[in-house]
Amino acid sequence: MVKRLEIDQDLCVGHGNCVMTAEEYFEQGDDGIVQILQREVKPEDEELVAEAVKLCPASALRLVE
Amino acid sequence: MAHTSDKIPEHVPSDLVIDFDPVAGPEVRNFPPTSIVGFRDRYPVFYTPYGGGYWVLTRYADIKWAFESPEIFPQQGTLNESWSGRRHIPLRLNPPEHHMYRKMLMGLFSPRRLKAMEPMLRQSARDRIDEFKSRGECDLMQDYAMALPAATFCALVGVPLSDFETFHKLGKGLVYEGERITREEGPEAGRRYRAELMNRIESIVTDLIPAKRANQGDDVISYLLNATVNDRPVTDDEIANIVTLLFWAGTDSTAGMIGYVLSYLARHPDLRKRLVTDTSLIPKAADELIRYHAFHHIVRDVAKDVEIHGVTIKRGDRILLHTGGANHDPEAFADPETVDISRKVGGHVTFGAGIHRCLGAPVARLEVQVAIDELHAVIPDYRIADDRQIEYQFGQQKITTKHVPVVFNPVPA
Repeated sequence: MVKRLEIDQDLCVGHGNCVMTAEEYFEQGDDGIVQILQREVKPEDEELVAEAVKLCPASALRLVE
Repeated sequence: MAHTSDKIPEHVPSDLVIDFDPVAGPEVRNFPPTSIVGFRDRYPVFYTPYGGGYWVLTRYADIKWAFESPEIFPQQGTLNESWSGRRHIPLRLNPPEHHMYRKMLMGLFSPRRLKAMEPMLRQSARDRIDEFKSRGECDLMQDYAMALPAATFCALVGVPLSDFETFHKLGKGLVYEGERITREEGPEAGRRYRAELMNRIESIVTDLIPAKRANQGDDVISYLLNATVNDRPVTDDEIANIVTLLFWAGTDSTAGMIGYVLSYLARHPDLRKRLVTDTSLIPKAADELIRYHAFHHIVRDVAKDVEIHGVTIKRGDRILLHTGGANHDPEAFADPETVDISRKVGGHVTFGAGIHRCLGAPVARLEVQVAIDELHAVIPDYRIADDRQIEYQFGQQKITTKHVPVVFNPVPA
């Protein structure tokens, strides 16, 4: 089952840890709030993306089945 | 910091008390970012009696966990008085209050605003380089590194660069002179001195508000005048508070990092030449050098009793989170004492971690990149002057470079 990325943009405060960790999946918009570039996570990227989710200080990201 | 061994709490095991001065001890003077690495293997946590006493965590995993646990380790000033005596927004706030202020401020350093700041940063750098390029020598800290964050701050606040000297003197006083006074005259004297300076900075900022209210621009005061927190406008007090924090958090920290990075490049011509030949490498090099040179040791209060590696830390104690120690933990970064610009540095804690992670990190990173790029464009070859040394300055929670004396082939004016 491919895992999907979700973000709660209300919680996002633009730390940018996710962008620094897995830049193919995250990007900060003009206002600093993170946008998800690819919702579906490739199996070979799962570990990296999971790390990015874990690193979010605002707990704004989730990886769901 | 002053040694206060007479005040060691009873619950501190005597075999964990180490004579480590986090501000100016010999380990620090050797190379500030790695001052605690020698303790790590033997002591995952130890107690230092300096500065009123702190538990020092030595491992990346624990330091990161502490940053990310604000309910156990709230901001300084929650239980004990913070070193500046002020409740800075958003730094001294805890959840839930913290989140709304943080959210309000995040737009300040967005990618769009960074792009808008970049030309001014580059121009500042060039102006400074023009002043010393034909001398064949300069102090990269005093003559160059200070310039970029100063320009950034003045542009952010919308005041002419010539006003920066005033802020700069006050800021240095807060961090460095205040530390000296605390050491020599005691904590009360230090606190009074700092409070006085903080008042002066805040009143300078307060004086700027009416003009900005009448004539709004693209500056931070105008931004805050239009911002809301909890659906209400930001008060003038809050504006002065926040802008003062932007000042002392952002200017000498950034200048210090530029100083560290350039002093490394002065001593490592191989890497420097790579960056001159291929400027596209500068952003990654900057990030790795930022990891390597983490120089903050951040203090947190302890709100709940907690056990770390079998050691009981009690409510009312304080902990010291050494960002350089964390970044040099081989469990986090393989072969950490090597500068490897191709490594992944995500997760380093130079800018902290958790909800208070540095708001200005994107600006700081840009300033370091610009500092390298603009310098190398005019002076690609520089080295530490013979018979001279890099000097540090020892402050509350940060040890920065003070002098980076270099020589180079003079460039005709």
